[in-house]
Amino acid sequence: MRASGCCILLCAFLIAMPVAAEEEADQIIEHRVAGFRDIGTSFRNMTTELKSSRPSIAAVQSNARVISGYTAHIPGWFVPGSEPRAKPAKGWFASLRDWLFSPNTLAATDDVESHAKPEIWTQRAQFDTAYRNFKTEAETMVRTSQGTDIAAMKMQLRKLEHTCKACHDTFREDID
Amino acid sequence: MKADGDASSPAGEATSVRVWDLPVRLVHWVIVVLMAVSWSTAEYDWIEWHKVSGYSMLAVVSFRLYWGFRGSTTARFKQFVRGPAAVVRHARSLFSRPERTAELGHSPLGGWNVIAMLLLLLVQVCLGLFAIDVYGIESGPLADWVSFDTGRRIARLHQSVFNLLCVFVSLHVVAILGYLFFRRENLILPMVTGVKRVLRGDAERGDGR
Repeated sequence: MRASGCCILLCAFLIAMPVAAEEEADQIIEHRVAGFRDIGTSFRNMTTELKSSRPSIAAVQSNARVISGYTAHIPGWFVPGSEPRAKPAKGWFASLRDWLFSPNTLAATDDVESHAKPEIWTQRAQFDTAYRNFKTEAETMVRTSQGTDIAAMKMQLRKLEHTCKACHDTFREDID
Repeated sequence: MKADGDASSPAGEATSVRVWDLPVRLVHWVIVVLMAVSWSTAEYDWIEWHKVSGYSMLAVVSFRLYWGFRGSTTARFKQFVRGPAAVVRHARSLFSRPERTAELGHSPLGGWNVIAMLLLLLVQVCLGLFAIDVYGIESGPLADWVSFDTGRRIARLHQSVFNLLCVFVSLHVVAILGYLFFRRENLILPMVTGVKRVLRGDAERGDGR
């Protein structure tokens, strides 16, 4: 009796396991998308600040710290299992609708679709280099924002932006 | 629209009629060029030129809307925005009557397509004013009024509206090619020269419409 109970439990566990893994991956992707959106918001804040006639250095500092803080999370956002999944086949109507209005445009909630390319998981060394470049420039951005040289901050923001673009060019779907 | 051919020429003879005034033709071809520029500058990330193209488009479309009230006959909305009955009648005649209808200006169907294109263009440039790029760096001049997330959503809508525009532009072009190949009526040349060759009797019918 006990043995069969164990068996049933084990079976249930084995069946449930891939589902749990998928749910976990979903959560990772959700965090990833939300995290990068936060990074974008901080970028936006810094841009707005640095192009204004009287930039608030405190605002630049706090946003630079947000970005630098997120760099620690990035490796965890791209662990094995969080790769893009095969999308279900769509009918002609759904295809047309999604071409006209991307699912993200129509979604009432925030963008939850990831645009990560599978290359992240297949060309890991190159991705890690791109990540390290971003991390380095993000840390330099924090240091630069400690000073008072607005021109230097603007230049550093440009450099930081280039590391974003360099990575996106290879590892993010070219959707915009 | 005045027929400026020889008034004494008998019915059945070809005569020239002025169809499109110069501002309408200029606006038309400038929009064609600006759409190509806007698309390519977006595709290749030349954002500075994309902005210039967008501002120009805003100016040109605004002028066209003004000209829809103050322009010559065929330029006016009053002349080419027709009710559903006229649209249905026109759509039926497209398939049942192969001979020329000698319409001057936009047809009842084409007129609505023009309205759709102009409105979409206006919506499109206005969305562009608020759009923000994925890096939070480049943006439209009014994007400081919206959050990053909203600006991103507007940018995606900016893409969707472009797709919609492509649909209406395709309809416009396909219709013109249809006229050219199935009805032997060249609508492209009058949009360049402003003048259309029609049979004399047709010109009068078209005139009195």
